[in-house]
Amino acid sequence: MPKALSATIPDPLEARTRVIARLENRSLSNVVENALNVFTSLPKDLRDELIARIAANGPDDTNFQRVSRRLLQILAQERLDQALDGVAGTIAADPVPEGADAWLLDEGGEPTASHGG
Amino acid sequence: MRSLRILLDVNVLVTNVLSRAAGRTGTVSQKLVSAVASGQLGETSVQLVLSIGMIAKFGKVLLRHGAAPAKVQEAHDALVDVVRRGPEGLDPFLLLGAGEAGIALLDREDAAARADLLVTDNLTDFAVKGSSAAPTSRVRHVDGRSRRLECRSIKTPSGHRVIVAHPIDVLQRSLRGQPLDFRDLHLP
Repeated sequence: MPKALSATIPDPLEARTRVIARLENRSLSNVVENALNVFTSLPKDLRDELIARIAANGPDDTNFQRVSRRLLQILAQERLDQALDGVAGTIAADPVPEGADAWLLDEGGEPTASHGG
Repeated sequence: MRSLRILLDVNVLVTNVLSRAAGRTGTVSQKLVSAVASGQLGETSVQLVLSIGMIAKFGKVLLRHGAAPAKVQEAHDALVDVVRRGPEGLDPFLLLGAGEAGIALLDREDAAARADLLVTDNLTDFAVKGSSAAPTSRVRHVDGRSRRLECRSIKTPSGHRVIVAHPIDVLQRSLRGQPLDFRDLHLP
């Protein structure tokens, strides 16, 4: 059963929440629900760290944004790993390696340039 | 500082999936794709470069191997996401070329024009007139054959120089802390 919550928040935060709702075509209630869902899923240490960073430098803090981009990249990498496993699971296995995986390093080479053509 | 832009050829991506299908782990293609997707190859920050045409070709090859279309689409979307979430935040779908009236889809050659390093198992594709090569490692095939790898500097139609190298060489260099742009081999 959904519950109604009431909270007092600063004007800038309220404005930012409304902007997100408008840009993403979502209700204010949905944005708040998502925010609480994410926040309450994070470990306490991470929550504390994020709160401290935002309190010190605001949401536009460059370090905060850098960490956010890094997190997005990690999530994309994990999604790719799962997707490649997923598609591989639908292909009949070939016991003989192909392509680059069929070759093993033998010995080092002597780097001497030559010109093609 | 700009990340090293690495274009992974379709054969590297397909080999990765086929090795997974066979239950192999820790292969060259798997280590390479994983590292590039993470944005870090050894000590070097890297950005994956792929054109939408290459990603589509990747999907077609997988379908020919009997892959489920829904799973191919998931892999397609995940690859697009990795390119967009990289340190340079590139978009594999669209790129506005200088002086072009419209928006052009990229093929492999167009994508190479945006890359510093092209990683492929098909080195012979790039043994073209005007390119320069340097021998690198000696490798042995599982069937016993051996061959000498090389890295090659090629000039794209737009005049951009890109280094073409084998996955084994790139991975070895990342492990040894050698330059991933192969500048120590003094190719033009």
